[in-house]
Amino acid sequence: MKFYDLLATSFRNLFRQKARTVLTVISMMIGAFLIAIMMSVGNGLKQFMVSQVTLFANTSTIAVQANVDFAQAFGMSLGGGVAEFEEESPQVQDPAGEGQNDSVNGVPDFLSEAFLDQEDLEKLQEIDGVSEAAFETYVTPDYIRLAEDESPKLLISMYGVPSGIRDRVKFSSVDRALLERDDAIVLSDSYAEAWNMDREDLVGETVLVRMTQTGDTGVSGMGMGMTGNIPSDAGEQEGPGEPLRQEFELVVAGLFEKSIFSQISFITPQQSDILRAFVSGQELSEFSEEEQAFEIIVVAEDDDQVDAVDRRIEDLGYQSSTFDEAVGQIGVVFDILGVALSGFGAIAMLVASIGIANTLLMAIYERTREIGVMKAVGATRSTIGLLFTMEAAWLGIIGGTVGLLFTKLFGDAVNFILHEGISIGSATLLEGFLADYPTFDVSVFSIGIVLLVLGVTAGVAIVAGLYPAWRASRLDPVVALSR
Amino acid sequence: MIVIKEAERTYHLGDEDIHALDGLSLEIKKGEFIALVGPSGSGKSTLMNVIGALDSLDSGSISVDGQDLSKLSDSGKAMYRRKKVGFVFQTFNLQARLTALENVELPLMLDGIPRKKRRDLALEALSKVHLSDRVRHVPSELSGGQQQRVAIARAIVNRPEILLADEPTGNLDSKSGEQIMKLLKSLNEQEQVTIVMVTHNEDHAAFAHRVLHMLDGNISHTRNGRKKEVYG
Repeated sequence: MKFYDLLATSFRNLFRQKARTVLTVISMMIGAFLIAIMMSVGNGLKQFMVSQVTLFANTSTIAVQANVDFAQAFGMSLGGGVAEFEEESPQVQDPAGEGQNDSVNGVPDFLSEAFLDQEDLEKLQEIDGVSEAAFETYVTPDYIRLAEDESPKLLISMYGVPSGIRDRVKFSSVDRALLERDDAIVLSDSYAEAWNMDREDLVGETVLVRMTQTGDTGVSGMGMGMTGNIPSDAGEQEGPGEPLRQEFELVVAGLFEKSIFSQISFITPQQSDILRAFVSGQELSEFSEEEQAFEIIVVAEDDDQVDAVDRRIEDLGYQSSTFDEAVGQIGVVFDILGVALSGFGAIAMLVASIGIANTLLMAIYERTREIGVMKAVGATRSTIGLLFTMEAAWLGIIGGTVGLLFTKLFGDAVNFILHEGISIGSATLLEGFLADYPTFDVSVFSIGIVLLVLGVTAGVAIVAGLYPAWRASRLDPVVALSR
Repeated sequence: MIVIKEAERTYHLGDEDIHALDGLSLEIKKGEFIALVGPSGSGKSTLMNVIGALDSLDSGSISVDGQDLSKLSDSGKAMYRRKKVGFVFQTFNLQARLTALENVELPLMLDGIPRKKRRDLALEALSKVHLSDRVRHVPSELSGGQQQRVAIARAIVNRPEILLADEPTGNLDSKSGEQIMKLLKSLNEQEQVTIVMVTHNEDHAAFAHRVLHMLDGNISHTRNGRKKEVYG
């Protein structure tokens, strides 16, 4: 029997007991819907997280860190248990194994190992294919305000980043010429809202950030952008009285689309140095010379060279991670999450598969005589078995398709409602939770979901159909015909 | 040529053993028209099923044109039924949802014959049974005699050498029954189809060359069929 005829005949058999077929398809549909909706929400969250990462990195950048095993440095060895005490062993752990014990300014020794300094920066800048490299630093002002406005706003941090990052932020409004200036700042467009301005009007405005001199060099804890300057005259004490404060002028060069990080901003490394030098109370030249940071951002000349540059950096003994690597890690997390959430769908599908098996066993009972006739006119066992297996596959595929359609409709509806809210006339019943995030969809449908769900539904249905198909194929034609 | 030797077939019904075939030997020549008569349970249907490779022997042998049927695999038997044999049943056994044409196409479809060709062959078979004007009708729209003619068309569409008819006129009125018998006779005479037919109707048995009386799984006696008047 030709494959097409098998397909057509098994499809036609679905219509013999329409109500039963519909019920079986519905049960399959529920499983498919649950799986697909969980995966599309996982997709949506993944895209959202990736878009957050893209604030700090893009396909031309590489984040470089010193090659230090922090876990070991902090005395954490995974699965290592407790070590035996030995009389000869040194009291202080020295993970770097270089015998140095010159902890400076209260900074533990292994932490200074983790710092990258000017020498590292220069080494990285000289690598073939690198267009620029800069320490990743951040500094927190007391406030940010418009020059001719007295309403200061909080700004959690200003990241000093190379132009390779600043220039490729997802702008909602930008003046590329201003972006070139050393005193440029890129803010979230939520500041336009906060100051009641149009985005375009805020770009080009002068803003003031107030810094307070604390003598703090910035080494305060672990974390992204942690930066350290170790003053030569450690232990400098602040005098009594008011700390020194100063407002610095910056020009708004662009606004990036609002994200979960709406209170961060990007400035140039030069500007970051000026601000941090003031905070530490040091001269700029002295500060810059001794600057250290946990991370250096390297920008490749073009995106195609990123992998090659990444290898060269690692060859020099650094830890580095490209955008694709960072995003890949996020992707894995959300893929796992999506699969885990799909467990509900898997349970629904298991139930549906029992329904399919039941449906087909009933069908065999009803069609016993017909199966006998089919055998009498020349059907082989495998033909009969295939007809039932394919009927199962149809049930799965139809259930999967309908489930996917519902997922698409439901996902679009949820996205719409979350963006637009629900209102009847002028009465708002539900605020659009995501009104501020126009590019973020909770449910993101993809061809991958379609293929996976159809594959799973067809696969589950076929497995469910195997036993009925085997039963049908083994029917004795003489017995079947006598029924 | 069908050769059956010492055929034994026993069914177990509860504690009872039923000897459906009990040492039966038989030769049927190509082109012969055989009628099987006898009380129910005498083994007529079992003999038919064995010839059609739907059932197999416990012991003894059956060969068709030198091919030992017991040596055929499942797909070999299916192929044999598709190419060499056609079945006609008392209750027609048409598929209720399919049109006359689609019913006749079924064996061709199982044989993997392309759509166009199987349509042509099915139409040809339907014209042989004088149903060219009823090809789009489903069985429920056809009379019993017409349904049996569709079933015969289905049985002969593959041009089988052997036609196995199990009480083909049993569910028909006498006029329709007569038409079916004439149809079988012409297939036998014009296309040299070997026919083995079970019947309870003496008049219909008279269409055969040989009438085999079966009793308790064996042939009790044989007589010549073909009364002169049938051919008159």
